Amino acid sequence: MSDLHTLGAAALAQRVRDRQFTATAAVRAALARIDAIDDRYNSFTAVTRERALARAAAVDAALAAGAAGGPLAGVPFAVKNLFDLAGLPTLAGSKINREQPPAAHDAVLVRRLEAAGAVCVGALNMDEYAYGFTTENAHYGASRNPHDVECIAGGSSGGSATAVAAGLVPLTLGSDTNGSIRVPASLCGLFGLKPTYGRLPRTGSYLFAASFDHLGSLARSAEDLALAYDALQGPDAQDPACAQRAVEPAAPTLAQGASGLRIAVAGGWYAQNTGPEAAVVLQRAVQALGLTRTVEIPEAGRARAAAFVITMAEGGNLHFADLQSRPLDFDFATRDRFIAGTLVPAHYVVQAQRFRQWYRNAVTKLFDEVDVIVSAATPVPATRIGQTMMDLNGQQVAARPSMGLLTQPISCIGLPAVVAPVQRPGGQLPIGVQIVAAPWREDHALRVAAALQAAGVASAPVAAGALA
Amino acid sequence: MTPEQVEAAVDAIAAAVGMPIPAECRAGVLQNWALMHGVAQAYLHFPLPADVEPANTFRP
Repeated sequence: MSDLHTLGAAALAQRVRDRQFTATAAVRAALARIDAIDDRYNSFTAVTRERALARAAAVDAALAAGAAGGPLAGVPFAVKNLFDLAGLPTLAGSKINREQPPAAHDAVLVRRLEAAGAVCVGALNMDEYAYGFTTENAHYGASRNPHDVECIAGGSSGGSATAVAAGLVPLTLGSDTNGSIRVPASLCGLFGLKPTYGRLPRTGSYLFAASFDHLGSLARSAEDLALAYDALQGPDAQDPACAQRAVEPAAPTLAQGASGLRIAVAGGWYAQNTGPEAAVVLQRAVQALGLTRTVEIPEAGRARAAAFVITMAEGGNLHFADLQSRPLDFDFATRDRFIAGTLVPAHYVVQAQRFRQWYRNAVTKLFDEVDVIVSAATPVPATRIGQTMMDLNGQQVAARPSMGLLTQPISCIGLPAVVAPVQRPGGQLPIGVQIVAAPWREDHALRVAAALQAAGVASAPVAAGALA
Repeated sequence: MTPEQVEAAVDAIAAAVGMPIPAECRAGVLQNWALMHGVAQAYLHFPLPADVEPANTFRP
């Protein structure tokens, strides 16, 4: 039991089903670890102890009564605090939402993970209203990178990353509008999945920019990511953006690895915005996969610009009333951007949406020639908490927005993407490889992540500092 | 746009939509609006065929 926090979700569930230990024991161990060490990382904004123990007892009772147990039986998990958890206000990283009545029901994706046997142990820190790439939250504090607590976790799903990288739980849910799963996965050295836009229902989660809002998960292996993804899939009529597709299981495909897939490296904008450390990491993946082909994602820089403006306008619109009446209750890190977002001319937004359509059509043609495109997930490894500028290939750029340079052109058109983490020697911080597939082909991206893991290039151990 | 033009645009739009700008936020709002305006130039002048519709589609 002493190494329980290093077990992945699949291995833990298997041992619970095999009755090597109970779900209650697994959940108690996670709760004890959160109590003992999360003050170093500031992952959790709420720990749902009683709920978790009750749920774990129910899983144990079902197993004792002869049930087979779900694929995630007894697996402790936690969710970004923009997911509804019955009985808690859905903070979305804000002070304002503390005044909201507690959620009446769990979010759909929480219900689906628990239906698979998993046990929710709490809610996790994030950038206010998901508008950021650092999780330096003025109301709830910064989440700290378990690989170096002086560095950012990335955001906006920062708590979702620190909780997994520190071995508090093996699985978390996050959201990704412009990179908010992929950036923290890269900076904290984790596997992360942002599925196709519309694949997973957002019912019961607090939106940010509806045109781009995706939900997904973070874990410490490609297998765990696929297992969770399969449990999360399925239609839901309450989300108008949900594509209402049937479940298309990905986990059974992982063993195929990269075999038969046409894979290329992203050049152009991507090469220009990849720093030297990320380039080394990407090269390791390129060598492991034997890649020789480079493709240019057409007009990726303009796509990033369109996503930037649409996000700003939709975010400003969503919070218009509070910005009008109580602007100083917002986090100073988001407030001025949100107010500016209420002042974006309509022409800028509509033209961005028209450009987005053009860009979608252009990129779709690329997938006639390749199945998967790989790039670095972030231009650089984690920056220090409080750092405002960073060097990118000899230029000083704003640190916070630049972390999304490589993720935004992908979520702009809803393509599925997996981050496969590459650990670096000598205490250097990890960086992830972004694996992008055609719409609805999450299985392709997950297979490539599994191939990189099998080749020993990608891995996501619990951070060394959290093992001490 | 010059800083003066940015300021004039922000004040005019804010007045039109009824968005007060607290003194604590003014410099940051101007900076972020100017950033947005600069970023938007990347696509605003990109030639698009007339039949390219906005990406967000309403399904009744």
